[in-house]
Amino acid sequence: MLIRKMFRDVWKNKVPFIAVFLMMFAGNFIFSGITGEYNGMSKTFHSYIEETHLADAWVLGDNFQSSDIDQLKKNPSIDDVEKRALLISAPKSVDDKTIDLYVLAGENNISELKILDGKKYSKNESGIWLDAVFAKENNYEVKDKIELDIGGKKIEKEVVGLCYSPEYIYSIRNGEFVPDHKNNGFAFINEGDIKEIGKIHWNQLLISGTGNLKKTISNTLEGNDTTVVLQKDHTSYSVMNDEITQHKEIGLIFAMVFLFIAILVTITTVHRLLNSQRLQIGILKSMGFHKRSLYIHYISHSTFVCLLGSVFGWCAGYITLPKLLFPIMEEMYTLPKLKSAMVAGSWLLPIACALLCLAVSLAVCHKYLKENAAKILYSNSVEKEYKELPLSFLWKHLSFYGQWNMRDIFRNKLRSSMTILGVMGCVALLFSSFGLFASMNHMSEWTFDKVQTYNTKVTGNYSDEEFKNKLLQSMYGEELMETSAEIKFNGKEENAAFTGVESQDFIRLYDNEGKKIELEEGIALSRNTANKLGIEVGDRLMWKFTGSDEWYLEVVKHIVRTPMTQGITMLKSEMDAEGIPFHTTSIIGEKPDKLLTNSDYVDSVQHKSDLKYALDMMLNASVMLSVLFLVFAVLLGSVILYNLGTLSYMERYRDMATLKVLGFHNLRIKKLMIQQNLWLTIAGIIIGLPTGYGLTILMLSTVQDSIDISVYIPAYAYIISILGTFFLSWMISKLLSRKIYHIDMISALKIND
Amino acid sequence: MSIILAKNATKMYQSGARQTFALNEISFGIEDGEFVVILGQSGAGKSTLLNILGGIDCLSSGEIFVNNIPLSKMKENELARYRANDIGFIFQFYNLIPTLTVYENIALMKDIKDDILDPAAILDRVGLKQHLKKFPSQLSGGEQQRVSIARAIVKNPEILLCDEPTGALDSETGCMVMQLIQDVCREYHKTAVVVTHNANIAKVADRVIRLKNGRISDAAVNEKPMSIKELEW
Repeated sequence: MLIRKMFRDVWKNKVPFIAVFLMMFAGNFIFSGITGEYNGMSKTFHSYIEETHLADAWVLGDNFQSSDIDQLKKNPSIDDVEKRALLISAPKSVDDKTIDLYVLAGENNISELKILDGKKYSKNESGIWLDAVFAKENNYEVKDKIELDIGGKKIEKEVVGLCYSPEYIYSIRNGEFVPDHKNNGFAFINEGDIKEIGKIHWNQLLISGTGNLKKTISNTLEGNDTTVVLQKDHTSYSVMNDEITQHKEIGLIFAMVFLFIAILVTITTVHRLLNSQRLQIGILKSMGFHKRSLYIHYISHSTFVCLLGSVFGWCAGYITLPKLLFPIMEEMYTLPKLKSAMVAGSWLLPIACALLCLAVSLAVCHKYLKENAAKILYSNSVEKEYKELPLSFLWKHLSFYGQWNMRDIFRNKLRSSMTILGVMGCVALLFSSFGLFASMNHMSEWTFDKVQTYNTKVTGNYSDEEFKNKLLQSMYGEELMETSAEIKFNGKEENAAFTGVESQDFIRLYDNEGKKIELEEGIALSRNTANKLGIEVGDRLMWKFTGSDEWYLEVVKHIVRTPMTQGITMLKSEMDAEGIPFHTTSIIGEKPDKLLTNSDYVDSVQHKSDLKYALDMMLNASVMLSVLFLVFAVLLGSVILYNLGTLSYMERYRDMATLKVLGFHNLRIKKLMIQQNLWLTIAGIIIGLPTGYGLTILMLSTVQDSIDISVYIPAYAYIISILGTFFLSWMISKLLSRKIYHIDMISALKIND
Repeated sequence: MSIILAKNATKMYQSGARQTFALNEISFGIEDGEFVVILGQSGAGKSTLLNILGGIDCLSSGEIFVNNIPLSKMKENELARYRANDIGFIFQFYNLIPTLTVYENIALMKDIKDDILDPAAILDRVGLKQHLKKFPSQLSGGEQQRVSIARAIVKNPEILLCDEPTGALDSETGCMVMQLIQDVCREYHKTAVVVTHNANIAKVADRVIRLKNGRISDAAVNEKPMSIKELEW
């Protein structure tokens, strides 16, 4: 019979119990959804790199010999070594596409290709294995012919297989934000099938092994100009790992926030239920119901609803959220089909939520059930001893109603602080939703209007001085050197980008405060790299070009904020003065003559509009995240404000009924009620704005290290967050205040509270 | 002249086909300045009558006139004004606002009526001068009821409606409260209607209306009202 009573009680108090349900639902939804998503990505990623035997290290150099491989293989910590050559090629007559062409010397046992269509790779097969995504974007199929231009030499091959490579899970060109599979791809070919290009320089070694590979390789190949890239530092591995960690952190933060709110809502709901049922509790006790059965009965209300919300939320999140997020991830990463995967033991969360709910309900119930029947029946349990307001000098200038409301706020500290907390969460989510969106959008403006001011970047081979000068004239441009470098500082090592510029007309530098910097001597170091190595202005660091053996010592003159290219920036004049070779990799400037870009010397042409478009594509993911925040902000705000508003109305019901009996108009009572909600909303907003700012910083800090996004909060983010929350609060207050018209005045004469 | 005049006042509750009469065609008159006790057992209809007199409930048929104005013709706003200007309520359980001090509970009435009496003087009159800054929870039951009386009087209404004012108090405190109600009514020339089931209280009234099953079983003027000091229950 008590079970039937429980269901009826829950139905009668449906508003707060719906709030408990929704909060538990939201917390579990986010948790299971995000854990299912990141774990699914992690599992797919790890099983993919395991299945394809992703290299444990790459050695980059000029021309490795068989003797180098033999020497390396002698090391017990090295299991296998393969050599290959990376050649930059372009499909013929297409000026802005590039293909990384790998020539393999033997079998492909390290960083194996995953064949999607066509023949399996074999050193005895002729033909080309082409990047499946590039092929799809450019309509290549197996058995099609593809013509490639490799440094002016042309080859034509049949596509024998379409494949993925574990080294190309994430791959972008300099200055790009998202992978551009339409214009960039990779291909693999046998050494025996590419005789037409003449002598091959084996510039890469793939290592499979264990232990301190960097040290082992460096010691073995001592004297060679080499750079070792470990698996953990490879873009495909590190970016993917960063992404997984980012999702994990975001998911946990959000789930914990919602569960925390859910527990607070549970506490007030149980309080309210037991308070309203004091008489019933007394009656049941006096009739002989055992304390234990009453405990079980009253604990079961919230525990049941909590379990229901948790289980539904967990299942719904696990089923739907990964499906929403995977398409965005698939735009960024080339992986086998992503499937959600449960984190071991994550299904325990709904049970843990129910147990936590049970524990807090037990604590609340104890307060109400510990007394004997007579005391429960005849005492005013809600009558709280009331004292003057703290810091009374602050409030004494308030109006009469203001003081009244202020006292009510202090008298019901739990309810008031929960309302503030709910509003704070709502504002913080709204603020970070707009903050995130604005910061991402601002990145585009920062990148293309402030940092990279050129319109076109033409990448290619500039060994021909005549061609280079013609292009420079045509573009009113300047030379640019983009390559990778290794930095050593205080015993720490880091791979970074190197940018050599002729002037600061097309690539500008800004400090942390957004002030333009004039670099004259020394180097400028990006903030992300400086933070990683603990470098400050004035420090001296060692650096060398990747693949080179010559180290340079430079003073860090400036720490700069740059959105995409994280590393060293140096002026060409300074490089010349220090005897550092400057190899032009691109010309930047205005749009050049079409005839020039059709030259064999040109590998790719990037226009600002294309790069902006690519960035907009990346922003789609942030828009989705912003919308998600917005939805949860409104959900959280509505549920908390409505639930606690109802609680406040219930608790003040008798006072309001008395006022009505005494002759107060409904409008006056309404104003009193709305005033309190308004104050709590203001308090929530005041705390919520800095919290939202912190949340935006936190969210942006989880972005991979290769991108530096500065927090940009435009005035509209403040205005919409504040007005939006006020509007929500006002709407809910308005909805709640309608109840005042239905106050039963007769009850005021009878209730003994 | 009757300040309150009830003519065939009927309050009926309908539940399906069943009709229950809380008040069944009752008629009576109360003179200005009288101290009236409405007496009856539980379910007799006395609280219903008080609610209707106070403008917080309405009749099914018949009419009640207060100062010759029919209550049933008043709209919600007019009823609120009537309660604010003409009626002073004294509740069984005091119904003080717990987050307002004693003084503030009284001064609150400024918001609904411009010409209220001096709250401090009234509180002095009811013997609570030294408790102005205290909150209701810091007072005894008797003291809280005295605040409730002060709150009713401060509006300077014509009629005081008292719903079991001694119901939650012990005998001694109850007598003190009754004395106070009677004294202030005489002092400020108020008409008081006290609803109670305590027959002893009827002995001090100027007029006693006995209700039974929604009907008036007896209505008479008390020729020799007893002094409250002689009361005991």
